[in-house]
Amino acid sequence: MAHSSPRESLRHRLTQLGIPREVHETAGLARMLPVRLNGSALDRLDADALAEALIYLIQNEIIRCPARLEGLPDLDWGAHVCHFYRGRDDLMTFLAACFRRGLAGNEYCVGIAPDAEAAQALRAAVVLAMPDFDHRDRAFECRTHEAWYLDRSGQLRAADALIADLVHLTEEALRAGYNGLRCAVWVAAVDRGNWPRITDYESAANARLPGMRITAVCAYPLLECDGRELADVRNTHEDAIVESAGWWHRVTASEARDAGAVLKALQGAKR
Amino acid sequence: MKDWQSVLARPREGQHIAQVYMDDGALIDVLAHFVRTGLAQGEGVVVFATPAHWGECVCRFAAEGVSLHEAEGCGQLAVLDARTVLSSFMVDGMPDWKAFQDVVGTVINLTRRKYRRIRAFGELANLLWQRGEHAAALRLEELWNHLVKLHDLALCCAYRIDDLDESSYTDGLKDIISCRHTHLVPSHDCPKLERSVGHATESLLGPRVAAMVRSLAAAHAPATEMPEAELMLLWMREHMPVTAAKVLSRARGVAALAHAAHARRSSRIVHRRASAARPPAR
Repeated sequence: MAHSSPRESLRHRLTQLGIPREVHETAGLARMLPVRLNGSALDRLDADALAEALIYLIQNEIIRCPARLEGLPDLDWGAHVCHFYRGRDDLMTFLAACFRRGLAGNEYCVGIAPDAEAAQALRAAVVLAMPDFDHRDRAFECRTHEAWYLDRSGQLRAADALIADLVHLTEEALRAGYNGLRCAVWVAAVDRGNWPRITDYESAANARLPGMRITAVCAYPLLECDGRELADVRNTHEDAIVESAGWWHRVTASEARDAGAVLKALQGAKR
Repeated sequence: MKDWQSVLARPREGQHIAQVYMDDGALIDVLAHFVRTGLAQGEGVVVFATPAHWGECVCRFAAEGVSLHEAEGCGQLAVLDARTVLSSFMVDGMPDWKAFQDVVGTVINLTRRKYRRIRAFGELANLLWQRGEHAAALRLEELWNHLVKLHDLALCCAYRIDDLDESSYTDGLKDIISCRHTHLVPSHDCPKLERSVGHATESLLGPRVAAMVRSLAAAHAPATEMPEAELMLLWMREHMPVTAAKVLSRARGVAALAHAAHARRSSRIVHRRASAARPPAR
């Protein structure tokens, strides 16, 4: 018979790992796992089993302790993370929160959106999330993929040139008195034709950014990526951030096989 | 799903298979299958079994109208009493490599002279295991590994272990796998075991978390090839012990229900046959 709360020894371990006691019942634990579960089936699940799964993931540093968006630790300088989003809601929520923190921390913020309309929507989301945005308007700009990634002939620019632009932008931001650069890229669709060049760029960024006063977030559509693309994105970023049932999960696994297992489970929602 | 019967039917040179069984009937099935397929493929077959088990196996062949005399006469089949062989190479409670090679290696060598491919079946390690001499059994497995390499033979070691018993996962199966077995073949009907363990895991964790756990277990799979159910249980026993115990308890329940249903069906068939044989009442 399923327990509504796990046994005390497991609750103790959960607490030690930062999972508050108020979410120790079956439904709460299910929400803390980086997998979307069907609400009506939650009561039938076993609290001990869910607790053990969660403990394994956190204890082995496959995920960090899940948090509400406002409790998600901010990115360190040099961080290059990916955000797997399911829909526009969680994407906008995340990017707006990300830029709000950057603007509050006197960082120069650049959003790179798929097109002009998306750029406008992203700007509107940031304005909405930041009541005093007008005072920081000059610290935020939105560019389009076309303007950032493509050359005059419409081809994807080389990884070196893109990285050089990021470095240049960071230096300009520092010269202008900002603490650093925060850059977030919104990928609307997986560009399979250019995929090898995109992963080259992501790998180059992953190697170049540490040590710089820059934080970079690349948002990819979770349900659009196939297994290989999911692994490529995960492997070319430090961590992967994803939302599930109002909780934010940071998949930190250093071993690709562990991260792959968690991300595959996260993708389960599309089936 | 992997066909475990074919692993036993066509083991490759250098393979060291651990066959787990629950009762003598299952062991005789495996032994007969292993010997039958080996002889049919023209391989040399060496068996180290207890007289009781081999006797039952011979009866099984006789019932099928198969005589083993010819195979034994021409040296294709060599059968040795496992207890006698075991006592001949044990020194101070541990298997001795030189004595093991003198006895077991010699039989293998003799068969090798006539047959290019050799398969061997052994109950030797199991005899030690059942006596609680686990260290000696594991040492013997190491010696077998040397011999498998030396003679390029295919080996199947049978262990009497209940793979739905929680204690089997704390030391038994884990230790056996650590002996570099290439395969672990389960005791129960494999598809049924997979279904009952899969169902139990999903009922506790839900299908999506269960899938994640399955992926994590697969990602950390040992070199020994084994059914997904065993892999999951071994992984869970180590990382999610409370869950593993619950999964096994539920899987045992499912197995018991299936067994009871099978018994009821059999009893109904017997009853129907008896009724049909009875003369109609006047």
